Amino acid sequence: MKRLDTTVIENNKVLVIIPAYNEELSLPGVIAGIRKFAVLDVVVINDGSKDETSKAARAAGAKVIDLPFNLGIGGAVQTGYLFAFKSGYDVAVQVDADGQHNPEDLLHIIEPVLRGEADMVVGSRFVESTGYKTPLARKMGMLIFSAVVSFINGQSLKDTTSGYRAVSKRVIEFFVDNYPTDYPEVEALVLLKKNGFTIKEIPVTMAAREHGQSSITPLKSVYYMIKVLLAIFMNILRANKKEA
Amino acid sequence: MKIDIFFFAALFSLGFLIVVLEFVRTKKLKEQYSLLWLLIGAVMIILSLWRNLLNLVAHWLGIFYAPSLLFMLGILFSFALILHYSVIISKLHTQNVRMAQEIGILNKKIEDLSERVNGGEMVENNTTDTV
Repeated sequence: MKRLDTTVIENNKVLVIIPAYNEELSLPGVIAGIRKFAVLDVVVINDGSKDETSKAARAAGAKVIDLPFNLGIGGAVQTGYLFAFKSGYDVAVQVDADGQHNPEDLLHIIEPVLRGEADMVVGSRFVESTGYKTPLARKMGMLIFSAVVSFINGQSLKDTTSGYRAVSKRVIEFFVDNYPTDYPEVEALVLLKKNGFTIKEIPVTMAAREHGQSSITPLKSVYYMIKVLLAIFMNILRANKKEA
Repeated sequence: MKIDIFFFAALFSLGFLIVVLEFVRTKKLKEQYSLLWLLIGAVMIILSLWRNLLNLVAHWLGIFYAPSLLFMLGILFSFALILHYSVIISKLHTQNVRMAQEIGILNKKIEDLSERVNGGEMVENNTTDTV
């Protein structure tokens, strides 16, 4: 169990961004978990929750930004990046509120960004065997995304939907004005690569959800698939236009 | 002038144009969003006053039943308008999101400041309760 090197952290302000919608049950554990491994600023973006998410996050010692109404994951995460930008953070790390992301991996995700090895580091469930099991339909979708993004970016990316990622100051600034609205994770990878940022994928272990359930229902996943593929396709068209 | 459907159509179109212009004058409708409506009104007036135009154009286009050209034009205009609104809604959506984000961050800053000023005593914050 390594803690983050405090001297590195002092020179580089790191912000942990946790977008949360009705996650009062899992949030305290997630925040405590992060605190156990590193002394980092944690901001919870309360995306118009109907439960006591805001209170739970405050009680756990996190900074809390309450959005006046629900924006969806993209808008919530972008709020975190906007806050990171305005507050002058050097690195921002996105962590899911449901406890899926193991705080032990925080160090591994942040370090390459701190060292300037990559503009974005994605914590991946599939780079090595990490003991993560997925339903077949979901696995299919993830495989398709992986194939498409890997092809477009010219770089193998396995877990394109992972929300466990760290980004550099330049990417924070970029995300302030360029962040997809819903199901943003996959699209963001294409967007970053297109704009000359470097991406690195590292293996992490993921747990099953502690509380609540995934927001993705079968019908939504069809919409997810189509929306993301369309967005990626549009990104290609835009880039080609610029080059011409 | 014969009192027939063309007469009523012309009357209606004129009234329509006047209503649109009145909305613009009283600032209920912004100029940039009134242009499509004005265009529709103008076309409707021309079609109802120039009786043969519809038949003529229909003939050119190989449409046997001239009034169906009217329906087609109406539907096309509606599509154009609705698309126009989709674009406007998208823009408003983007602005709305940014506004909510800024409000969230501003509230956080106000909270921090009032905590510093009042020594930890929070001033009542209503924004999260109103939804």
